[in-house]
Amino acid sequence: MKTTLRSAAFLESRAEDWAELETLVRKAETGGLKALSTAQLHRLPVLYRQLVASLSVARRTTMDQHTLKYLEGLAAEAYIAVHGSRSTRRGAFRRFLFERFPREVRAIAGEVGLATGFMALGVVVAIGLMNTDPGWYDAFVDPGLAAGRDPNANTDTLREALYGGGEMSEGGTLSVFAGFLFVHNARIGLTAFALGFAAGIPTALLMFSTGLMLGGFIHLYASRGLLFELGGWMLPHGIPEIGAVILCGAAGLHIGRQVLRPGRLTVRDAMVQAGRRGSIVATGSVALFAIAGVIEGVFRQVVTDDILRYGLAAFNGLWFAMVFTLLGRKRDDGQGRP
Amino acid sequence: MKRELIGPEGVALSFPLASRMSRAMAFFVDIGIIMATTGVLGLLALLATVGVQRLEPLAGTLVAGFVIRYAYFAYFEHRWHGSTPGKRLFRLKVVSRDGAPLDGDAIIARNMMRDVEFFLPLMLLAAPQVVSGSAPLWLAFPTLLWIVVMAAMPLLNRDRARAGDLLGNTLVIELPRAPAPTFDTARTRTGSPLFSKANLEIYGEHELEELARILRITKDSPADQQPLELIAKTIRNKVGYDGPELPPEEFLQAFYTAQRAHLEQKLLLGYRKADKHSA
Repeated sequence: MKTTLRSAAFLESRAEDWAELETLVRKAETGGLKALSTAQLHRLPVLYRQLVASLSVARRTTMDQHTLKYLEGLAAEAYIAVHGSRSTRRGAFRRFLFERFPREVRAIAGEVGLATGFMALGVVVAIGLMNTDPGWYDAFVDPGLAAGRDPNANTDTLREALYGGGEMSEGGTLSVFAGFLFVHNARIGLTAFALGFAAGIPTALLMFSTGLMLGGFIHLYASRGLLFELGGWMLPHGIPEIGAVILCGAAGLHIGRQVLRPGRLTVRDAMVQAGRRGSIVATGSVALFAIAGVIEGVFRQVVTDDILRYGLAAFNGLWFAMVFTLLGRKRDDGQGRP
Repeated sequence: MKRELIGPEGVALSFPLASRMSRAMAFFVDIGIIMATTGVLGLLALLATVGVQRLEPLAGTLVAGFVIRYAYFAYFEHRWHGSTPGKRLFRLKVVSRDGAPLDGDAIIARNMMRDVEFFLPLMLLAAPQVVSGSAPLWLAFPTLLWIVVMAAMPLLNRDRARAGDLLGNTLVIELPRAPAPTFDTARTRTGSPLFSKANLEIYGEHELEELARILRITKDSPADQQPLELIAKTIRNKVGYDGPELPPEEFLQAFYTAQRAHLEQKLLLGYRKADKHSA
């Protein structure tokens, strides 16, 4: 008479496969999947799936907790090796920038409008207040940023500020300037996005205060009859730069809005969804900041001809509009996701 | 602490949640690497700038510093599948809470927040005027609140998630390690059955597991003396065993095998006996 444990027989018959899986997994953990041969690479998912299936059975049937713990641990290890990695298709960067980024921007078009609205409100408020008292300027524009361009400056100084800077082209100073502008602006943009986490309120404030600053400048230059010249100075880089700030703000507001009105989702799920979408928009905006930085740091300083400046502004406006209306319409990003 | 993820196979797997301490340590290692790299680059750029008498190298470092700071975590988490040099050192890994493979969106989302969670508060503390400009004083209070909430976030929820984890829907786990397997606890037994059906109706799975544990210790570390004799006697009396007298260890082994076979047989018919108290 022989007493045999069914569970033991079940486990024993698979022990060899598990040992094999264990060696593969440990190898992959130290050296990555590259450490495995082609044959081993084919074995890994097969063995993993067998183990997961056995684990489900063992959970219901085995009376041996020690073995169960081993299986649980091995399955977790193998999960990391099998699912923790993911192959990336070629051209991920290009697809991100020219397909997903515009698509996600279109998806949050409402928030883009909202962010633009907050900024426009800032501009209007600043102009309105400065109409009654130009002294408001100091409240809107940081003196450090204004660098002497304030209501007390005479018109020539203000004009000079729009066309000066050419002397900086010596010795590569402009490149530093461009680099600085890019880093500075991109950080503001990313902060605007991340602050959306606090129900979007800081983001809205940031949009508004940027609008105030813009309005302050516009009013100052308009009051001296330099509006056209200011346009030539500001628009070429302003289109990608202010556009990027608005997009980052919109991404932040999107999170805030989803948190406040999650609809049928839980707040957490809504936030996750908004966060992913928003971070794509914010990351894409960094590219816009880089373009703006080069234009602002180099082109603006070197080219002082109004017609050329407006020409570039028009060109920028054109591609900016085209990128966000036309690109990424074809729904294939290789991830099976619309 | 453990967290369960349901993998694509539909089976829940449990992972040890990374401790806050090891996460903080990993983070500081990564920050150290970032600072060292940026520092070395800056030094090289400075030398180059002096060498060529132009400022382009400096501009390059400025941008490179930005890129390194923002892309470091995302790059490594992408290439190393949820791990960075610091995380690797402490055997940590980022996984997606939904059990699916960690995707690029989640990585970007969780690392975007890092700046606001850590660097921004740090700068606010070190040099408030740089961040807030000439912002009024009343803004200081919400800012302070923000810092506190952000910093305390991983302490406030059971997943130890920081804001970035919340946004990216990710968990940071410790790499699981399976214990060494043992397949030798009294598998089969030949000979006539020692126990009657009535003998085996007393104990349940809990007692069986305890017995397995004691037998395993006896086998693995003989130095660690277990009161086998006492246990054998208790079991004998409890189940009403009236078979031949056996040495304690042999008796317990035999009882374990018989009891387990019995419980498994009953399980096959749909009856589960958790412990001696359950019917």
